[in-house]
Amino acid sequence: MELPELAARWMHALTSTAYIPLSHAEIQQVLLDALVELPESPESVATRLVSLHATGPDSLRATIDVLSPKFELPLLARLSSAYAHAMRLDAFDQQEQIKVAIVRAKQRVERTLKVSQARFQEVFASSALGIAITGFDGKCVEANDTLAEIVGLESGTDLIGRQLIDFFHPEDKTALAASYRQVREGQVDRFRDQRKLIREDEEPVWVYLAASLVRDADGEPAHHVTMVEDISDLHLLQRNLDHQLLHDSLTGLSNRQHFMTRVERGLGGDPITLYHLGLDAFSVVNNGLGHDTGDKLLKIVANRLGKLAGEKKAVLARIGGDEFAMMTFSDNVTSTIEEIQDALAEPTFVDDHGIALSASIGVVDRPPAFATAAELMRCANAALRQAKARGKRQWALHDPHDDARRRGKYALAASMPGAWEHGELEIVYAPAHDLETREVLGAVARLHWDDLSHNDTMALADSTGLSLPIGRWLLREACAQAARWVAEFGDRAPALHIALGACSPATRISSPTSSERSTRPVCRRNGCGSRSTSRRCWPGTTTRWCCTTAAS
Amino acid sequence: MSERVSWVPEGLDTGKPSAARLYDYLLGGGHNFAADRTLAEKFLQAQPNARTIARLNRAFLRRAVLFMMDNGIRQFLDLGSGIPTVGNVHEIAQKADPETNVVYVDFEEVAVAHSQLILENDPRATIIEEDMTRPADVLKAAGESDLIDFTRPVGVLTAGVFHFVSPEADPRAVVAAYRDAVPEGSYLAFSQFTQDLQPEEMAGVVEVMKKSQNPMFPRTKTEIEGLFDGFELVEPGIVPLPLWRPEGTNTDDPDKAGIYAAVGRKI
Repeated sequence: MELPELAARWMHALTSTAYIPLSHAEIQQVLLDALVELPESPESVATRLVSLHATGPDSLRATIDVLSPKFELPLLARLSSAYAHAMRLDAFDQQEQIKVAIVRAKQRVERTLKVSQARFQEVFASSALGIAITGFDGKCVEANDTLAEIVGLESGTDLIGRQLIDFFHPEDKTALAASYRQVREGQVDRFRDQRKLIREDEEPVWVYLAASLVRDADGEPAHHVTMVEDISDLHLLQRNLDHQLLHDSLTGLSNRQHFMTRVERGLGGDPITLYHLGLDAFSVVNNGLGHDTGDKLLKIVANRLGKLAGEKKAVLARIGGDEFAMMTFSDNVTSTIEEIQDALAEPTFVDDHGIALSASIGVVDRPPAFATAAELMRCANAALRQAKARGKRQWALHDPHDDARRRGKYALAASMPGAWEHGELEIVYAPAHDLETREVLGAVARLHWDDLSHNDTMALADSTGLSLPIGRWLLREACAQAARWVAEFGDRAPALHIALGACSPATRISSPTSSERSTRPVCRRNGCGSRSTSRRCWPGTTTRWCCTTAAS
Repeated sequence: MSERVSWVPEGLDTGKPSAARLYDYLLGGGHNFAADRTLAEKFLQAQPNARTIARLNRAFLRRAVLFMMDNGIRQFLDLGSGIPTVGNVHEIAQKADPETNVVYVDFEEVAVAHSQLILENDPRATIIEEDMTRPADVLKAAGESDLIDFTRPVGVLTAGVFHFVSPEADPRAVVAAYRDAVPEGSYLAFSQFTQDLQPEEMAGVVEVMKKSQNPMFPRTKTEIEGLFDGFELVEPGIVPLPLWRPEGTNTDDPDKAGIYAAVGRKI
């Protein structure tokens, strides 16, 4: 076989055993040169093969396969052993090279580490947060000066070797140890907590702390890092704020909000009794002697009731201007009422004014456990209203039945303005007969709402302050109706009687004059042409205005 | 405190195998450690043809570089270049035209240090230590190297690299970022493992690499086509390694080549 053909076969054999970064033609030329050189110097051919990178696991076998028919075994043996030697040297060179690379890489990493270490030290030293790095034995490996300052030590180094957890309040230790364990075991990435530290001088410090895990190069947990923020000031402020939110600033007693939550909480346990106290005639003190005196008086009352509440292990609150609430447990109502009145009855001198004090009290005794605090407060308030209605220094027990009735009425009264707005109130005209002759004397204008009679409607309107506008509206509408009748029937138009407000004591005092003032112009404006508008008071409860349409 | 404190982890660990040194070993190189060789043996058990695949992949890289140079490319960005080994891009390219610039990109510390050693005396080649899946960082550093002029066509090379890019790293967006950074007429050479060829062996390789620092994500031909969005594939398209513009007659079995190769031209 000719050498070029042999070189081509060799090239094909080699390129399928190793990657030689040359073109086929180039490789073939190199191998042809090698073939020429081989009989003289198989060693240099071996070196060339290795430098060509014909160094695959099967490269030598492929070479022998191709060359063995043409060349003698001793020559090929020399080639093989030189090839092995060159491979060894090549491997050493490469290992040397990679070692240098490793060293360089390590140096670079270390440089980077030094920089990041320097950065870390900067953060560590200048941080406003205390930072501690602890081993899993809980001992500080490193701590910064800020942390030392928080716990009352000179410098961070004073902390090294000490148990971080020993600086925490004894009550917190177990929980903290559990949290650290969870972080270490990977159950949580980090924990944040608000805890109390005990300084070296035994002063407590509130801190916010966050702890997480530092892993080593293999990703194994190695240390805890704990950040500590001193929040004592913040904590005090927060507590102050909490107190202000839940307490009355004048008397320092709980406020309504706070009292409600206490009631809510009390409902599950021993039977409770609620007392809703309203000071009698307190507005007289406020108006007569001034608000300062009133405030002083309220403090005195708070003080006295507070003492009583303390003795009875009761919960006391100021829930309104002159209203207090007390919750007792497993209580005797009558004796407590006496104790309250006795406490208040002691002569009270404020700014040289001797003031007599008493209270009206609404009581809700042993409510069912399913009642809500809001409901109980409302019931106690209702009972207080009843007590007040009876006079001073009275008390009333909440009566659920009476309460239901009142509530129905109040609910109706509350919905009246809306109903009027929506035109649900009607005016009906009923004929008025002479009882003896059955002769129709005229018509009576009456209000009608829902199932309620005219009188009930007016009474409700009275209680909501709507009687005046509704009365005026009734007059206006009725007069307009009268005018229409006059236009239609002339002299035969019926006399129209307008039933105005129910004569409750209050309206009797204030309403008639104002009604009188407003009625005449209304009648004129509506053109019923009456020259005689007169007021007649029927015996009973209703004041009536009569528009006579007859010409004078 | 100037000395290093005990809890700071060491930054370099040669006890862990790396894909770059595994590749070197499969190519018959000596730039590797016992851990790399152990992993390589497992790799070979799963894919007995691994040495050939490594050789074919390296040969594809050479052919792709020379193809691009034939088409006027004189600056290359070699993404995930790994350990400098036989037939490095700058050697191949500068042999064809000494005035060719090459920027290698890798983030493995030893590969980077090694490349720096090799390239110390070559002003036209450099290595930047960046993660190729973060194109913005790579492109910034490549621009600062002064070796790549992004107004002229660039040969972007990713040979045997994308199978280390997880779907979470959004390979389409990665390729698109490089595509958008280079002008029309630039080329992308791409090769990566596929499950289309020898699916069983591929599954075995994935299993072997799962526990290493470099888990592998083979892709189908269709998926690879998707990565060439905005490129025009040059003949013969996406094919097993030995079928991409072979030199002379091919004697390697394409069905056992494990890796698809393709070159695209930016349009």
